[in-house]
Order: sequence, then C-alpha cells, then structure tokens
Amino acid sequence: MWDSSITIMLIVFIFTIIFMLWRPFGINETIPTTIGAVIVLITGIVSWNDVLGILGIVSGPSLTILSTIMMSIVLESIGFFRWIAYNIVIKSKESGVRLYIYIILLCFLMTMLFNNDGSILITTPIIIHIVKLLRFKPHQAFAYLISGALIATAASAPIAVSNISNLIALEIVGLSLNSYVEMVFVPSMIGIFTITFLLYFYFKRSIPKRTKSIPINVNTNEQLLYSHPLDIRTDYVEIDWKMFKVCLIIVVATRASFFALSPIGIPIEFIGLLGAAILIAVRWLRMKTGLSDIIKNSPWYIFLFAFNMYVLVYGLKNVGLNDIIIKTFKTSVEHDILNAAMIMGLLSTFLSNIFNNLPTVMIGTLSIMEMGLDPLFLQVAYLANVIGSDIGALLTPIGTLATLIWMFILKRHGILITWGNYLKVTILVIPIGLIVSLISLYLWVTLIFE
Amino acid sequence: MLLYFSIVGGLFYKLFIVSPEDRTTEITINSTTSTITKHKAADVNVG
Repeated sequence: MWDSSITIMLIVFIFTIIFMLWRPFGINETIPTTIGAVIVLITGIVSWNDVLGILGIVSGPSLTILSTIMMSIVLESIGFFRWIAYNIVIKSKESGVRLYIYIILLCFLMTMLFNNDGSILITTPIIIHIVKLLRFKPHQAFAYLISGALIATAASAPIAVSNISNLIALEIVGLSLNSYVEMVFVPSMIGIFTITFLLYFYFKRSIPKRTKSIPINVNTNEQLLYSHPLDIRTDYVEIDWKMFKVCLIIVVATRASFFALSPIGIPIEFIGLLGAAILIAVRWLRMKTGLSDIIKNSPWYIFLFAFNMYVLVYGLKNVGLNDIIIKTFKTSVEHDILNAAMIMGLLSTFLSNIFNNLPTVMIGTLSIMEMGLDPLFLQVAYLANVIGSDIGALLTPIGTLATLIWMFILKRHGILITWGNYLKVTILVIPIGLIVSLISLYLWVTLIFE
Repeated sequence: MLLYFSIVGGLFYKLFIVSPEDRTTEITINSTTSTITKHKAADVNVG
C-alpha cells in the first residue's frame, strides 16, 4: 500500500543525494544531509526513539575515521608527505614504469595505514606535484592520477578500518574486525591485483619509458633541495628522520592495536583517538606545535554527516524499501553461497553508482540482516555487499566520496578530467576486478569456512 | 595482524621514507614554505 510517507521519503532521499553529490556553491555535504535528516525526523518517518540507537552505531566509526585524519594532519605538518613525493622521484631513477609502481604502492599503503578518503586527500596532491615536476603530457599524467585514485579507494576493502561505511556496516552486523579480515582480505586483494594489472596494461603506452631528469639533492644539512631549471628559487623540504620514524611507528602501532585490542573489548575509536593524541603530544614535545591546525583542518562534521545518512537510510527501511529488496532477492540468496556473493555484490555496485556507496552499504546491510539467513550466508552476503560498495562503486565518480574528493582536488589544481575520460577506464577495469573479487570470495569462503 | 602491520609499516618506511643513500643522522630543520606550486609547470588537463 503506497502512502504519503513513502512519497515524502523518496523525494527527501533523492533530493538529498542530488545536493550531496552536486554541492552547489561548494556547500559542505553535511548541509543537504542535515536538512534531509531533519525532515525525516519531523515527519515521524524515523522516530526520536531510534535516534539513540543510530547515534550508538555511527559514533564509533566516525571517531575512528576522525582520529586517522588527525594523524595524517600531524604527518602533513612535519613535511612527511612532501618528502615522500620527492623521494619517489629520486627512487624511480627516471623510469616511468618504476614511478608507476611506486605510486600504486604508495596509494595502496596509505589506505592501509589511514583510510580511503584520507589517502586520496594526501596522495592526489603528491601525484599532481610529481607529474608537474616531471612535465608529463596530459595523457601521461592521467594514467598516474586515475590509477592511484582507483587503487587508493579499492584498497579500503581488505581491512574494515580503512573506510567509514565498512565500519558502520560492521557495527550493524556485529562481526569482529578479525573475522572480517579473515574472510575478505584474500578475495579483495585478488581483486585489487587484478585491477592493478588491468590498469597497467590499459596505460602501458601512456607510461613514459624515461622521465625528465630534475635536480634534486639531499644536502649535508639533511635538507632536500629542489631547483627548477626555469626558476631561480629553490625549494627546501624539511627532513626530520627521527620524527618520521617515531610517527610511522605510532601510526602502525595504532592500526595493529585495532585488531589486537578490540577482541578484549576496547572500542576501536578509543584506540584511534589515543593514537592520535600520542602523535600530537610527540609533535608538541619535539616541535612545540599546538593544536590549532588539528582543530582547523579536522572534518568535525563527519559525525553529523554519518548520523544524517543513517537517519535517511533508516527512513527508507521504515517505508519499506528493504522489504522490496528482501522479497526480490531472499530466495535467490538463501540457498546458494555463489548466488549470495554475486547478487549482493552486483546489487550493491548498482545502487552505489546511482546514489553513492555510504547509503548503499547501510541499506544492503540492513536488508541482509532481515533476510533471516544462516550465519555463513549472512556473512558472505554482507561481505559481497561491502566489496560491491568499495570496488564496484568505482565504476562512476559518484560511487564513492573518495572519488568525488579526487575529482574536486583535480579541479582545484586546474586538471579537468571528464566523466567520459573516467568511464573509458573504469568500464573496462572495474567490472572484471569486481567479478574476480566476488568469485574469489565464494571460493575462499567455501574452501576455508564451509 | 601485528605482524601484518609491521610488514606494511616496514615496507612503507623502506620504500618511501629512506632515501637512496639511507641517511639516519639527526638533522637541522630549515622551516621554509614550499614554492613548488608557484612554478610554471606543464598543464595536465585531460580533455
């Protein structure tokens, strides 16, 4: 029975997503989602009683992601990432292929150590620096930029802590971090390797064999000097080896502690915030730098954004969207693991590319929870849902917030990449990577866990 | 996972932090602002 609440909810949701992706006048994505969430609450589609439960689900993941972003701000402030940009150029020894491999590895490892959005925010300016420094032609620069962005975003699938939507979904399902990694690490890594190889072969002709030689030297005072041939100015990059080492150890220890300490009941957001606090304290002790840059640059709105999105998704569930998904797919999903993986993965990919992966992964997870599946089927369906929203969502730029951020950074740097340029690459690479990941998930789970 | 992140961290350090000549000594910091973005670099528009 179609009633007014369904109409209101659909209109609110569609307009919120349009404004969130469009961001007219550069408004923050939190503004349209807040307006949408307030309407949903006022109209009673989501009751005020549900608010506490929603706060409980989104607060931990939001704080965890916030703590990782704080860590990256500290590292940025000590010149860590600028040193990496120059070091990559030095180490690639004028080989375009070596540079490509270094950039792919950097993007992958940055997502492993931080999160997908943070990785995009940090690695994109690094890659832009490098391609401008080496005076690449447009099609050469494009090869490095899009390959880095796709790998940085896809790399959030293997471990749940690299992506806020994965963390929220994990919270809904009640799966532990370690169980998640045991089941999804290998299949998603196979998918990422596939995407990397496909990207390399796609761009093989665009990757220059030799890159330009540029004068970069590490002088005796341990400063890196770069002098552009057409400019008399010289660029200095600070190199504080001790700080670099200590900070990297703290980041790695924090990541490892997520997995070591969460099984004994310590909330991951607490571990993340403690790691960020230690890093800030170390910087203060060494450099006497206060908190102003952290306060100014941290995306505090992320908590409100996640809350709003969940209210909207909960509204869709309350008006019956989940019932449609359950009725349509339950019988196909509940009897066959391969079906569970493929159907939920493809559904998640389809929905992510229409209205972004954050609401999609929430809708998918809530639907799976209500299908009444056996535990193994439930986990496979949920993990396929995550793979679809992390890897399949890369098909179009609106699929993930990370790719939207990437497009925005490129535009700010005067680099115009059209949807056509983007789709020409992803239409060939992403579906294959997705199908390989989903089949690998099926094979891995049936071999190891059945 | 401790081992895994030790490998990831070690790999990251080896690949991106250590310079080809492996310098590990204490350093003098010269805090200057980057001028690199002001250089006239090649356009990288993809159209």
